[in-house]
Amino acid sequence: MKNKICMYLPPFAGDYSGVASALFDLGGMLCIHDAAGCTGNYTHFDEPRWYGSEAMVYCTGLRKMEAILGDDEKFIKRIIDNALEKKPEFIAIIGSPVPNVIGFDFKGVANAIEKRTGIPTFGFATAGIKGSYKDGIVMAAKALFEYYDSHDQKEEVLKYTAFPGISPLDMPQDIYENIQRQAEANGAELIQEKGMYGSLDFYKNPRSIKQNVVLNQAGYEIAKYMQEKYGTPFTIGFSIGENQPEINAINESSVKGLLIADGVIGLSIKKYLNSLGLNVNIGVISGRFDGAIDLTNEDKIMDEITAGYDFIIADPLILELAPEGVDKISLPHYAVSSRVKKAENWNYLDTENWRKRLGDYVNLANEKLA
Amino acid sequence: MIKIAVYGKGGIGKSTTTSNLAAALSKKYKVMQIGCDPKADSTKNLMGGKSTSTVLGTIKEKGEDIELEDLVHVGYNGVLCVEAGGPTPGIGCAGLGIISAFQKLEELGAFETYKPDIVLYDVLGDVVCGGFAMPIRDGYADHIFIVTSGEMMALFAADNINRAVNNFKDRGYARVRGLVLNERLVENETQLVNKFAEENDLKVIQTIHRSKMVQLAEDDGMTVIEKFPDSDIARDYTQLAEKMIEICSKGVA
Repeated sequence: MKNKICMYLPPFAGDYSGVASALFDLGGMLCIHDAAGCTGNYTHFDEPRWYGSEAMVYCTGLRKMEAILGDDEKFIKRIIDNALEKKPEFIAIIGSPVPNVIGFDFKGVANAIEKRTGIPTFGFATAGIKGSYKDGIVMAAKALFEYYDSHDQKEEVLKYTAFPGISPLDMPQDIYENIQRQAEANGAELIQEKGMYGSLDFYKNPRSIKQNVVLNQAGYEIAKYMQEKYGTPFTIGFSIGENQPEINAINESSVKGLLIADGVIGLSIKKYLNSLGLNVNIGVISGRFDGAIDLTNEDKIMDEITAGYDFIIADPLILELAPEGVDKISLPHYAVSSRVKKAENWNYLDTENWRKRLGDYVNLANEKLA
Repeated sequence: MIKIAVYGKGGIGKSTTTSNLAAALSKKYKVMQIGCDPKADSTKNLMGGKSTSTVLGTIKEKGEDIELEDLVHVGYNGVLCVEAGGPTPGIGCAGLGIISAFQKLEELGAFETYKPDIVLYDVLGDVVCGGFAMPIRDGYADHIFIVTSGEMMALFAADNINRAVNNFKDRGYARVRGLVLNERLVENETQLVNKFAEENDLKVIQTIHRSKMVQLAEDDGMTVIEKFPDSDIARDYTQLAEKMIEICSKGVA
């Protein structure tokens, strides 16, 4: 079994960060059950949108004696007092490692708070140990669907297009907005407002979604869930450049590239690179994905990046581990490097940007194909 | 699927009652019994007196990549036997052990794979911490039965368990659906237990009469349902099984 400990890389965003990200702009009150001072790890460092925002996120301030004595009532009262004042759309209690070790009952406490406040309340037993941020996004989405499906009236006229599970942990704001604009230009009526990753209406009225457009792995799992539950069709991936050509031939022999990214983003980029005649393998960090190499821990990443690739496209922190002589193309992934490498973001929907970075390989591939 | 947790004072006969119940229920249903005690002896008399590998013991030995077949053992009349296991006495944390064992069974999809009609959780003594309340949390058992005798300490423990469950009623936990009187031949035993039941708005659903046959069957690693199927004591357990199913089938109030 591969070691899960990171010696060189920071730990990737965990399930708690995924839940926090999925719920960010839905008008809920988020309570991170942890010692005070750690909340920033799940929100600020894993989520660009929390900075300067007025979103309601709190820390319960778990202390040693409360952990030993199981003084849940203290947290419950604190959460209820705050919620009655702020009147959020919902309350979410999000777990961290310590409450999981002491067996805190997230679901039971959420039930108790909901009974006393009348506000929908969710408990997420996240711990950042097994699940990735992708699992957290999916967990949050399913909880919201299940709740609103049994509590609210539904709008059932099919009219909206949605991007399920999309999060800045996978896709930077400007690129996401660009994709939203393209979809609108193609006549889609979007359920997510411009620039907004989330939409409470999406969860309250899933039967109004005409089509899901999957942009990341979390979105793929949510789209499959919605297809099964509501019959919602979905498409996977996005185009790079206009009129993206079909793949004619790939230069199989000489040039070999590795692309480490979210699986759906990776497949979309791969399709474009294939159209240029370049062959790339995709590696994913947030759980297994069809057509991609599982790189969920540092050992696996180290093995793969030293497997003789000519060029590697990955988050800059991962690229620092790549051997000398390999061409390195930076593609920041917020779930890996957070704010540290945010400034290196570039528009990967623009073909010119790719030609600047991979021009030599494209020319070489074309020569071989000619 | 009906999920039942059996609680009661340590040594009161929970494992004997639960495994006889499992054996009686197995005549009509597919039953899974999950022992939640570090001693890991809940299902022993369904397995011919043999100890089986536990969930936590297997994780310790083989790591996290284990199969359901390593944890679920087929006992008497097809009863699926699982032992959570736990730490060596005096060290570790048994409550966290129960939590981890339950998480592993969930992760491996034990219920989805075996699809039992009835799941019986045999839980150690009092609800001393979060780990031992795990079987009665939302998503696990829906019904609780408390085994008691007329002895003061057994009734005291039954009262503590009942109070703990009532304290958590707004959390969606399982509810206490009745008492099982496991006779110890204390003076006025039936009256004492009935009085306790009345004071707590509960009912004694079955009396298990004192019988030497229980010991004789256990000496051979069996339940009385297996060893002495036509005995009066086997009839007690069969009646208990029928009454539990009747109560649980009515749903949770």
